[in-house]
Amino acid sequence: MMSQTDLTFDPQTVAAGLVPLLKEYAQKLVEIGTCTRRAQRLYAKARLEKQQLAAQRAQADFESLRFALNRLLPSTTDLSREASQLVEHGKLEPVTRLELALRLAEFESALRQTQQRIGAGVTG
Amino acid sequence: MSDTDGAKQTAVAVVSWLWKNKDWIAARLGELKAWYLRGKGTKKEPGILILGPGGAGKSTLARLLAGEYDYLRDLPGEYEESVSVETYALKDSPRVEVVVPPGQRQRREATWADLHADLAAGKFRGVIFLSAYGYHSFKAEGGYKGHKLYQGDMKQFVKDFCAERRAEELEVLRQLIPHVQASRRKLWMLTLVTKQDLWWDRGTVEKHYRDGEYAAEVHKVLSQKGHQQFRHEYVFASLVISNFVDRNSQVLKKNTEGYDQKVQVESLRHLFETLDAFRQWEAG
Repeated sequence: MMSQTDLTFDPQTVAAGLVPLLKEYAQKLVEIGTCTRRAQRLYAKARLEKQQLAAQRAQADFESLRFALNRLLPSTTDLSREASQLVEHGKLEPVTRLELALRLAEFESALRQTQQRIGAGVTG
Repeated sequence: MSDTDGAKQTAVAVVSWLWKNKDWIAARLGELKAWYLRGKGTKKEPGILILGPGGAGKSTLARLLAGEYDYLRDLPGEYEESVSVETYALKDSPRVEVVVPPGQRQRREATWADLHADLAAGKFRGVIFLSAYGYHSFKAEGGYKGHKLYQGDMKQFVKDFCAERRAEELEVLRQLIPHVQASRRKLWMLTLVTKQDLWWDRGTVEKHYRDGEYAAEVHKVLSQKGHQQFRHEYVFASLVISNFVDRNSQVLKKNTEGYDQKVQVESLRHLFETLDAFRQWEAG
């Protein structure tokens, strides 16, 4: 039977796996943020022009974006923690540590911006 | 047309306008409610800021102060790194916000700058600075053998790790001190040295904080602000009793023999008595 110690991975290998993941999900979060902004604009425009159907459509778009972000949040938090612990403690080559720290910063700022945008509600 | 008819007509017009615009009104009311709940509409009392390096126990302390920590349900030693600024309401004074920013070096720049400015602006009544004599929880992949300080010997690793983390505690304190000095209001500061169950050697540890470089930094504030405007205390305690373990539950240091729940409760009682003393000092 495999012991818990056998299940550990080399920090350098884990970091190499985390870097593209952070990059990919930072982009996804930026996309969610961009679509959210669009839904908020459409909603505001529809309200101004009193187009109820268009407003409902924009609100539905916004709700599905909120759902998408909420669905991602637990795993993105885990991803942040894994990367952050490696940056701070892991036995990494200096360039890997630097790259991981940069990707983590990019990822966390994308996450924060998107969370703030969605947290503001459909009215923005 | 009589006055009554005119008033009736106006009322009908108002009701009809309200009915026609009910969605718009509901949306505006919703926005107003969200704005209010975000805190812009409520008058809060100055809060408490909990600072310190990652893994020292800031979130555990905040949850304890907020009455959210459950000693029967929460598993001691289960470390979950905080990734963003957390806020809690003080259990016995819900209008006092307890603010806990993440402690990792790479997150400090991004999240602490605003809080330092708030501290200087007098938005906090007190600061709790958490240290743990270097016993900071970590959960990096690879466990202690995958740690940057590991050189092939576990005991030596623990020694090096704690020494490095103590240096980190000092660095974080040095970042904080100028902002405490700049604070416009009467301010208290508590140095809470946690994880007493791991280092239960009062002489060495207390000396480290009370007599060394740490105390010199705190003294800078005292000499600048004076005892009327600044009060500092030390508390040495254990928020939870747990062995020092790595990600793979490998025990790096066991609790000190004899450190039981009675000793822990006494240490926590001292913590709460000190916070009460700060409250009285604020009022005085």
